[in-house]
Amino acid sequence: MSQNHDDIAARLRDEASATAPERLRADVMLRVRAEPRPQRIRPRRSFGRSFATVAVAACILGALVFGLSRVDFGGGSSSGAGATAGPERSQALGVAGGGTPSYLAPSTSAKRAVYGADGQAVRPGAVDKALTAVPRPLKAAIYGRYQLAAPLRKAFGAIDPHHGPNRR
Amino acid sequence: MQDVLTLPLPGLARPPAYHDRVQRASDEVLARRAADGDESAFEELVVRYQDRLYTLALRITLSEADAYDCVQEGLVSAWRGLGSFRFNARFSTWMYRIVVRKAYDVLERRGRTAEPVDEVPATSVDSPVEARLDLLEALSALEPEFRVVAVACDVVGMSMDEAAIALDLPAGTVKSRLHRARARLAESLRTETEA
Repeated sequence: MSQNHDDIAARLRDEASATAPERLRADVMLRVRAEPRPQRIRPRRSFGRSFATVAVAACILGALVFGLSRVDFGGGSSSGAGATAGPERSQALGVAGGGTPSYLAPSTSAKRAVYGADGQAVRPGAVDKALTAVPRPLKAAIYGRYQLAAPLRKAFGAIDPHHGPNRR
Repeated sequence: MQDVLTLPLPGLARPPAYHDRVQRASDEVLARRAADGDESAFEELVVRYQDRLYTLALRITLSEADAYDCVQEGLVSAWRGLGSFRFNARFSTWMYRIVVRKAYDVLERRGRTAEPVDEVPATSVDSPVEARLDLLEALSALEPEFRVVAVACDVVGMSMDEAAIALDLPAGTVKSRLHRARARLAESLRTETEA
């Protein structure tokens, strides 16, 4: 049976094929040349893919804005914000007198007993001044590593809230 | 790498090397070139496939004039549709499918208008003439759905999967129809021989 089918297949392959008329190619190409050239259609990006791209970009942008808003560039913004918050915010945060909240206020024990190197008691105001005068690490690195010229140091201090004329 | 074909300068005749490369390029490369508007690449595809397409259309329609029209219309349709061809199937399968649809349209029109079919085309092979005519008569006597599968697989040389795509049939249906078509052909030829 299988041999018979193979014989039929072989005979069909050998005997049933035909040759196209010679003018077919010329006629086809004549019509093809009269046609406008095909324009390849580029696959369009789907709506879902476009939406996902926009959503991812929006998330990245939002995270960037949120992160930048949390960065402390100068060091004085938090106290300024506390100062401008006024008594209402201070009330809400449970702070007496406004300004810094209670959980951010210096410990009372630090004000109670601070002694200098010579054993003499140091006044509380001097402690606050000493704390605020501690240079920030970046500034300390700049001061320590590069011996800035006096005018440059003065200019650097002018834009720094802890040094120069804007010192708090 | 045959994917890269050098384009000649506009206004100049194509150099012989270009034609050599076109003739050696694969079907897919030629189809991509044709999709970009290269008529020489499309002409090479026509040369490669015109006999197989014509055989397919001729054995389905059983008419030389209809087969000629089917192949011509099919190739022009292929040229028009090359821009939308996504190359996720073989180019040959796509061409076969276009021509088979044209041939089916002819059969459908013929069924509506009951046109007589009086042409039994001869072939150009060197087997005994009587046996060849017997085979062609037996093939023509098959129902179109069996004849199409036998022609696609055994005459044109498509694989089962390729025939399934070209004929828009499940692969299992192609296999069973091919088996039955061969069985009926064998039966017809045996009957003729005994008679």
